[in-house]
Amino acid sequence: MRWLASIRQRLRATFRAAIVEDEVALELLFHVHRQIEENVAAGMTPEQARLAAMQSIGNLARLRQECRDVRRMNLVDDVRQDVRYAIRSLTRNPHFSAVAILTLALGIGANTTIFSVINAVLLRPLPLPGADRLVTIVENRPASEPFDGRPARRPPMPDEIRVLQTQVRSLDALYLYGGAPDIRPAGREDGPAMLGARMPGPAMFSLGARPVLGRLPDADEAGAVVLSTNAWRRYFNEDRNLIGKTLSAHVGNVQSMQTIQVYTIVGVLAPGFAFPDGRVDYWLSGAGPLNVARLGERVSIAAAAEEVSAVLHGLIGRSKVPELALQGPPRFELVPLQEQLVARMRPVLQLFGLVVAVVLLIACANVANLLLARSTTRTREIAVRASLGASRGRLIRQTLTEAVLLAGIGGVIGTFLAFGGIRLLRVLFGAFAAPAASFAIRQIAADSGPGAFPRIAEITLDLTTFVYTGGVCLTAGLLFGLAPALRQTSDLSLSALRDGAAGAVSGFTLFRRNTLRSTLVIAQISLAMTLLVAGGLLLNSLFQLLTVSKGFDPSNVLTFQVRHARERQSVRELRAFAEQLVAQLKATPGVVNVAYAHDMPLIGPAQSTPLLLTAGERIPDLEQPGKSNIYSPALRLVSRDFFSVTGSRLMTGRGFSADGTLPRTMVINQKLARARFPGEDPIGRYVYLGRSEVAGNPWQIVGIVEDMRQHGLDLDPEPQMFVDFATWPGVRQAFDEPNYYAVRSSGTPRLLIPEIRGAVQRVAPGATVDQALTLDEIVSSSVVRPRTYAVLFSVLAGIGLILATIGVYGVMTYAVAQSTRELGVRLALGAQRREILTFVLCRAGILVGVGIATGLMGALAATRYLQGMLFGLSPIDPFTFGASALLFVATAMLASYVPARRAMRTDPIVALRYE
Amino acid sequence: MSKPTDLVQGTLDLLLLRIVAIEPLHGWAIAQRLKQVSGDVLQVSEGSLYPALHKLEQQAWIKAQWRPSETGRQAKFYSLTRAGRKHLDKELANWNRLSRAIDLVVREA
Repeated sequence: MRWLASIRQRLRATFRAAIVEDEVALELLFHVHRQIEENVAAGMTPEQARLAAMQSIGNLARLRQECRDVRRMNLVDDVRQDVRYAIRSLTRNPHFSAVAILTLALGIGANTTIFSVINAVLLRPLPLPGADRLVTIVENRPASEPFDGRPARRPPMPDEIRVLQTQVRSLDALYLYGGAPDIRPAGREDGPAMLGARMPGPAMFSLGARPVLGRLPDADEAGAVVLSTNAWRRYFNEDRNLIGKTLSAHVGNVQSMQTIQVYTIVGVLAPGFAFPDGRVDYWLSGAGPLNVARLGERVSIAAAAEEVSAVLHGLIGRSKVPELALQGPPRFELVPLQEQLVARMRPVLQLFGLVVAVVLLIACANVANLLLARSTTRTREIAVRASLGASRGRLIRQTLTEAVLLAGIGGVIGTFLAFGGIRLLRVLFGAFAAPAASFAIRQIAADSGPGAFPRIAEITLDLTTFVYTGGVCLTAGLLFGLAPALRQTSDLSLSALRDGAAGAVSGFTLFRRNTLRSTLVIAQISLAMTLLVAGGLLLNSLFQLLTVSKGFDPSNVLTFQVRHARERQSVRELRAFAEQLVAQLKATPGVVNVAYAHDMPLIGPAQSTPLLLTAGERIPDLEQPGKSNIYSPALRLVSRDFFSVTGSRLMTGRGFSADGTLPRTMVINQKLARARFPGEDPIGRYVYLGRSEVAGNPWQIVGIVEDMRQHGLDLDPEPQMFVDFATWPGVRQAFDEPNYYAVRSSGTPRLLIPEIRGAVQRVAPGATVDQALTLDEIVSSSVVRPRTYAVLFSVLAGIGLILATIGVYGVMTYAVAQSTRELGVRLALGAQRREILTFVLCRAGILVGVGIATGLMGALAATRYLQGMLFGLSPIDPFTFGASALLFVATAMLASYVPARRAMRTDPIVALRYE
Repeated sequence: MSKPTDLVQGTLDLLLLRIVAIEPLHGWAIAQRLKQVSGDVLQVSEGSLYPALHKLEQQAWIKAQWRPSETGRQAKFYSLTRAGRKHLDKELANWNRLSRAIDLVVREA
């Protein structure tokens, strides 16, 4: 390891210059003293001895300078010289440099872009004071389940939290927070809602909120609101007299239970407070179902978790929730707040990190190949330099400098590309989310909507990213520079000096003389092939998802809710309102049909009701979890024209009668028909619904409707039954009320919104339209993740494909150029031009074929990790594999065709004179 | 005498390596030893000695250690590294070959 010691010496001389200087001075001083002693011993007087010694050593300062030069200065000089030489050599080959730099820019740009996401989401601490000590308590049931960031984990109950707040010593503070209702300020009822969060005033203070106007809420103050600076500006024009004014909020999702609460604005916060999310417009004093705790100083998260766990397990005996006992005792865990927020993003970001690393590898292979090809033409130059006294190490360093310089320039351009990449990501992550749908804290952990991608707004190119990019450039440069550097300095003998262009006279071969180059291209092709297959699978899966039979036709349908001015309207009043609104809207031009329902496809929870075949049928107590419950199917209350508006087809039988004269009829879906009535025709059957007020009387099944995907396009339809509101006797529960409206239009549905506003105002003055979304938007929002991943992956796989194609083109062009003479001889001896073309293309085919075959095998091994991201598709889907391979073959052969044509057109005379 | 013009280019390194191969020595002692062993024929000035030593150290053929000298003062002692020993063997072989060749030419011609 001599070179290691040597580098250590150089580094020491460069970075510990002062110490090294002192050592040199001491050493020379010792020499002088020793010489004086010697001189004195030889009989000189001390004065003579000193003079003689000084004379002998000469100019001390210059000697020190010389010693310093030996150690340090030549490192800097060499580098400067190498860089100057590298720039000259790069500008002399502009085509080579351009391709290499562009290739690297793509690879490095992709890496920087993805790293900026990883940095913003996973690495950078939350923008809260002491964020590294913020944790949240989660409960894992069953105990063996690891924490994965999904919202299904039950947080501790509020009463348990109160015990924790008083008993646990390892937590400095423990706060409960949650969502707050959307608020539309007076005069802006039709505009976007202010999004809110709820937490106690002291929690706001502890998490870094500071008022610029007014104050924070007190500990037990109810109904006090502070605004974000942003909301203050956007909704209130920075009104400085805002403090003390009130806001009214509609609380509760169910209209018949909805109350209107009045909050008082007590302050405006300084910018920068973003808990639990940067989108929050206002904070309301109070508590919520989620918790955040601050670890005490010098307390480890494990120790705190142990204490919390002990306290909570002590409370479990008193739990009144029997079904929780079935799964055995839970396991409590403290999870860093950041982890809770981003845990679901981690595997995806790791996957993309891997993908861009592969893209960079492909890019590196490309540049290595270009450098190798060029090194052959530089053999003479290298030999000359070697014979003039350059050592092999020096020559290797020179080549590496060139490589790192290339990577550096590529990195700078790549960084600019990354700015574009981040914009693309913002669009991908943001724009597919539904336009400002209702915000609730649970959306932070939701699978769709704005909460699908936590912290995405924080993506920027910061110092960490630049340092990372720099590191990538350096690594990449060394990676692709090393092989060519070793190769082109391996033969420094005089023979190389004599026939520097020996390569140009050999025959056409990709394997014997060009083994390294061909291996690199094969590696490139197989890596790119693997990426292409994976990207193809995700795209195909997205296609399957979007074309899956939804059970409804989302085009030209607008859904909305109505926000009433009065609180706690009765179900009867709400139904009367719904009927009037439908009548009004049906008369509106452009409206095809109108319906209302308790919930819409892809919106709304399931409400299940026992379906009994005979009046006294017993229902099994428990069913397997995860299976759809055929004994208690979902009951959906809809208006008469619901199927016509959603575009769901009736398979057999009929829908609800227009005048409602046939009471107690129901429509079931295919799934329920198959599951509950196997082998028989349910049409005309009488059944009983297991709710008290209706249980006594039978219902007749009159029709079977196609299966609607209720909870997500990727989830199997559940068994459902539909009952007309008009014939439904219940009017007491919130479940019995109309909640959503749907309008099928003849034109663009959003254009109807003003008409709908008008109609709502006419029927119930003061009521406003809320959550107006087209079904298309709802569908689109529900697939935001698969779409984002598929698009992103395909873009990266596309870059891989382009780079590998450049690689094939490069190596083929080189091989053809190398064998110009042989081709010329063949032509002169009577070979047909077509034969030459076939000959070259066949060779390229072997190269591409081997690469694709290995790539497909790699894909077979790798794509199973995508299983969880695929819908309706096996990870080894033969169609995707075949199509990707075909696409690759086509591009690669096209890339080889250009040099093959050039080979075909070789002029024998010119070729023979080539030497 | 400034530079040892009578030394064949690159030979100083060989001599220095050879001298410190026997035992660790400081700069002054190396100069003395060179003079002494060559019977006062070869003399090297401080202006050449120290840069040469530092260069050898930088190249990691030799390494240095501070310890008390024969007079008790702290001095920088140079000794061969393992790589340096190999290098020395190679250079010695080269030297032998070269000197024999020169010898032959000088006698025959």
